[in-house]
Amino acid sequence: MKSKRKTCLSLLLILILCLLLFGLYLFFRPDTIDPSANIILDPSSSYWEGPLEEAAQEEQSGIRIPGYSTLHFPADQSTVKMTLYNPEKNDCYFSFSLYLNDETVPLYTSDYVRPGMAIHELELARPLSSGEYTLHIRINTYDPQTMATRNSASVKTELIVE
Amino acid sequence: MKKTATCLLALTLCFCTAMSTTVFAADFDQNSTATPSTAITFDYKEQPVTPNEPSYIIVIPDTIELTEEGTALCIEAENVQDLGDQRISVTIAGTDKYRNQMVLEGKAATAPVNQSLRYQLIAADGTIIETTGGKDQVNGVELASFTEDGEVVYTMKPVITAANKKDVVYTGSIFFNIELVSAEDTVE
Repeated sequence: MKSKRKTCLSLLLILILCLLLFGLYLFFRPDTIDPSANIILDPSSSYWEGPLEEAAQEEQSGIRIPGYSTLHFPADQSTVKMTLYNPEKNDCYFSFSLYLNDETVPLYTSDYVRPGMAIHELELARPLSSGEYTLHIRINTYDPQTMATRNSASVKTELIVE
Repeated sequence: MKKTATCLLALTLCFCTAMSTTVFAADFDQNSTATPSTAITFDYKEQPVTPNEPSYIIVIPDTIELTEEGTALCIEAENVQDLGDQRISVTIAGTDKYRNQMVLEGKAATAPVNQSLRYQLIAADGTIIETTGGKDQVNGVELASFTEDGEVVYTMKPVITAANKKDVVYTGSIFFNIELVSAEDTVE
């Protein structure tokens, strides 16, 4: 009887500890939900102070779309490093999708990325074999308050996998 | 308890000894005159160091409030670095409307409720870009080309007919394609 009581007490303590740890995680986790629009922001995005903004001196309207020259991915690896960036002066959210050659199924899709934020590491849907490909980086833009779609762009570039 | 521990220890030692034996096992012909050797190869490849970061910025129109007289549509290039023998080409990839037509759509308060309104892009030299009902008529049409920072301006103008109702908010989106192409390539 005493041992049963001890076991129950132990289990209860473990449960309370787990709940406490979960609560701490919820409190300290990165901000991944935009409360104003109730959407999920990409948790892997972070602030990026790249060199691109240095030359922009004046406030200009429009959506800034980052362009890429030839990209390099490692062969046979699903995790690749690439900076998908929403320039700070934009007034819209981005979502990124990568398509290979003429494929219609995306190789990668992101959640929403706020202005000034960038994703630096991508988990591809599948590892790529060595070779040269055409990569289409589809950038959809959204009004941050209403999530209405705005003008979008597709950046086409060469991808070398080796 | 001690007997169990002793047995377990003995079994472990036996197991380890058996495994280690296979490591030292090797075929060796003592009569052979060939020098035993192991071929070693190391394919030292130059690893790409590109950080896969953006190298330029193209500014496309955000939202445009059309007026009857027309509204400026600007496409700009920023932070363009040395492109070598390439140029940045900005073309129309499509629109959000059926058959990628250049139309805006809205809802009227009275029938017919569904309203559509065509629009044109008029270049500085007077060239008109528009659709007339066909499929993908303007997909691939180049709007701007850059080899350095710059700006190209079009006038976006609605094509208003008697059939278009007033007091309707017409909306639409354009998709742009941006790519580096050979400076010698021409796009229609």
